[in-house]
Amino acid sequence: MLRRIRAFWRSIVDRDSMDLAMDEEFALHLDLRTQDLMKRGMSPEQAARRARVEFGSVAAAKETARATWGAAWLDRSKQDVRYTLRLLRHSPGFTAVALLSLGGGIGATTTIFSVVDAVDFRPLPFRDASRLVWMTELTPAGTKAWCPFCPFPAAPATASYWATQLRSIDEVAAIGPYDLTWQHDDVIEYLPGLRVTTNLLPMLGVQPERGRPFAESDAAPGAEPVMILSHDFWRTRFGGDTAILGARIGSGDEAARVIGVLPPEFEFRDSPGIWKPLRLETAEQRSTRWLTVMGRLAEGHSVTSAAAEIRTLQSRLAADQPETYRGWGTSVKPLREWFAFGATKNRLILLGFTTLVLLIAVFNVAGLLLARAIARAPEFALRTALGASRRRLVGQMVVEGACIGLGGGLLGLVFAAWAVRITPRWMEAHEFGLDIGVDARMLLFGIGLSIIVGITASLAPALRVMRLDPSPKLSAGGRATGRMSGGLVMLQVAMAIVLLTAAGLLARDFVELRYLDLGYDPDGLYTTNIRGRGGSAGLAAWRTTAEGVRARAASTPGVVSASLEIRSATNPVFVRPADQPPATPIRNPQLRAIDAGFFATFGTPLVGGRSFTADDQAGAPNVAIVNEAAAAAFWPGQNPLGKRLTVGDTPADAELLTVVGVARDMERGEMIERHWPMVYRPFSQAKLYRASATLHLRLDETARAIPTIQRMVHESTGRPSAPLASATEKLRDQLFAQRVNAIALQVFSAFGLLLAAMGIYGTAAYAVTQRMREIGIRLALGAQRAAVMMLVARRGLLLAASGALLGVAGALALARVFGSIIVGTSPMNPWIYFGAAAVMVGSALVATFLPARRAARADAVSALRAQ
Amino acid sequence: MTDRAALLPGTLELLILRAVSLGKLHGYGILLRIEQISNGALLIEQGALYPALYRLERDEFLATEWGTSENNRRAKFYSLTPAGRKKLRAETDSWRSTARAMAAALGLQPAGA
Repeated sequence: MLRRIRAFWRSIVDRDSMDLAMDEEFALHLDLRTQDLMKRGMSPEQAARRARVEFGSVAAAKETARATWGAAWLDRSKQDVRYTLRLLRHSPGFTAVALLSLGGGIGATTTIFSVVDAVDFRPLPFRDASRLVWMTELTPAGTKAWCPFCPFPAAPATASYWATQLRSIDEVAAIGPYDLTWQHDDVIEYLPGLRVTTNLLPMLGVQPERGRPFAESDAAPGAEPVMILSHDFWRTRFGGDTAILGARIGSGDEAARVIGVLPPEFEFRDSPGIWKPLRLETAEQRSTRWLTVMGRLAEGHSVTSAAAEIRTLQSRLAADQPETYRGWGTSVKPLREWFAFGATKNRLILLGFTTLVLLIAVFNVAGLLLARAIARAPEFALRTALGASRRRLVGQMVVEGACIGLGGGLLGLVFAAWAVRITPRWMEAHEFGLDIGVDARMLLFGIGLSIIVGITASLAPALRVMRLDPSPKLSAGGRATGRMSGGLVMLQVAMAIVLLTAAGLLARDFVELRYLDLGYDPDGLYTTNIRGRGGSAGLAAWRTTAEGVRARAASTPGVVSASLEIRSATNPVFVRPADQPPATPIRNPQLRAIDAGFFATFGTPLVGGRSFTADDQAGAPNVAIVNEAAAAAFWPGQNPLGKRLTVGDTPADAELLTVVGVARDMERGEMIERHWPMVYRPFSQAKLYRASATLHLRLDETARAIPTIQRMVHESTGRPSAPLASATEKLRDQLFAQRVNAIALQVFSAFGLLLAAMGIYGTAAYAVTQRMREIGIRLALGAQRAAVMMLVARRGLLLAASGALLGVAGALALARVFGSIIVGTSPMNPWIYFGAAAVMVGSALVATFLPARRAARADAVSALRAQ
Repeated sequence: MTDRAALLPGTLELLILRAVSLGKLHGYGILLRIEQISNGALLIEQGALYPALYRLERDEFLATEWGTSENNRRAKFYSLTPAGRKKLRAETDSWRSTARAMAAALGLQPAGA
């Protein structure tokens, strides 16, 4: 076997020396034969001629010999490639259409593939990454409709419970968000970072490139604050200056000493620049869920067994602390899913759509090749008669397909190399911290795909050539060929309708989201968090400090109004209508503490009662405002004004609140569902748990107001201000992925529609060319022009109609898949299915009408002369 | 020239193996040897000889080496490999039984003779 491969190889690279050897051998043979013949009395010339005649063709012998060694295959392919290239050059229209359709399809598919590959397929670049898991709590019912039982961060208390109790997971590490504010030389910098338990980096197998790793003591209470920098951040922010090791970064009590720099190849989600140690036991807000928890599976345990153990632990927690854990579930998943943002399914669906586009392109090119094969039937017949074997002809069709496929593939790869730089952002992959770009895997996929695609496209014409009648015929195109090309067109129509439907559903979904009634006016609305000093003394003074910040903000030029809010006013929360027995199951409302100006700042109308006023002070009767959802849930059909609510940490220390107003439901881009019951109470009457609040501002002159407010917040609270977030930008970010998905599908479906229409056009145009004589006769005999038009249009229209039926059926079958990529609307919207089919059939009408009109306008005499 | 029988497909290779089994030969020598052992009764297409030789060489039934011909030219000599010898034996046996069966079927000779 080895020898055969070597021989084959030699036959390719060492052809010349093989040829020489054969020449020598044949020359000797001829000479010896000539001598023998001369011995029998022939003249030298006679003998030499005779010897050559007996030997036969030297070239044929060589050819057969080379075939034995395998090189002939290569020779033939080279000839076929050269022939194909010549053909392609001579029909630039066909070539352009074929290359562009395949290029578009292959480009889109390769782009999406390389994102999916990097994010969902390749192993994470960490030590023994397959044993790493991601543990979450699961949101109870009441979170957004698209997200009941979403993975949710875990509370520090939960994480440390897991860390001490779990046997199926060796190590439990936690990550919390952290942004360092650093004010120096009149500049405020926000440095992105993470707080991590000291075992996280060792668990991932990451060692600092410079300096030292975290020691357990770095996280101990009272230890000197330290930080480790990512390589990228160290290089871009500090110019790779080694003097930064040992320096202190940050303002006031946030300042910490730099002890290390991570290696350049280490990438992490959200690309944090700063890593600080976190101690679960001393983390603030112990029962607030804000930590991402990961761990390493113990020997002999699987994700499933770990999930079972963690469920048991959670039910124990739920029994002990029902207020915190009731309704909350748990999940254990491979760590990859945290990096993949759980959107794997969406990405696979998008990959499916691009594959559909590619299939339409392939069928389109197959149709073109088929038409060409039919047109070339006389040529094939001639070549067969001249001794070309059918295998040789089929081989040539395949080579043609592969050439077109590769050409399209090259175009596609150029496109993908460009697209892959912008795509990850909208595929919810922008924060993976994973490397997505042009690499060997992408090139391999693209080239492999092109070859497969090219050969697939050549199958139809190849089958056609196989059935070729060997006798040279001028008339071409049998019934079977018609069925094949008709089938191709029909499938293109059907797939284009599936794409159009998906695009329509996404577009409608996006419009719905975009023009959703938010319940407030996001324009000019800005939000920032303010914090005071910790400790009980700080907490007592906080109410005054916060109110002072609000008042100074409200009087800043450019600010229309300012208002305060505490998102979690009691913690843990216990809120229920007082007139219902505690056992009644209710939708657990959310409680927020706000000031008198809150609804005015948001522009949210009150649908009943009054807003809070300055008189709703501590000591005055406790009051509350509920939203419409709460009013409908607790007191259906009744007037909620004057009703009472019980609010407290536990039923024992509950306060009674009287409802004085009803506000519109608001969609604030939070985890909580828009129409979920909300209870608002005055900031001044609410119990505070920590010195923090959210400051909402309505600005009409952002450029001037924002820096003034940041300076003021720093002066008033003694802490640098967090950045001001714009509500419109937040909404836009949330809609970004949806919008781009909608745009991408519109591009895909437009492409599919165009290709399918071209297929229909081709069918009709072909019918006209083929039947020109018949049309001439009919016209000469006085046929109506309309009848002639129908004659050639009929087939295209029939194909469009049957394709449309197939497409709508396919789209309906895929409705559930569509449903998982749209968030705000139903996938069962009959108008969109109907509309998609109508758009396709309409395009088909135009595509058939153009050639049909040409037929009807033909002049009978010249039509009769056709062919 | 006497009537010569055209070769049955596949028999050329068997003849080559047989010819070479008596000693190494170059291409033309093989042709002469086949004519000689068949008493000139078999017609060999000379052009077809070489592809068959190369096929046998590729399949490692024949070994080749360069040597000097009787007229002092460089020539490629073919000889049997052990695998070639085995193939020759097997093919000869199967040919013999085929020939006998054909003869019997055509009534040229009583079966088993």
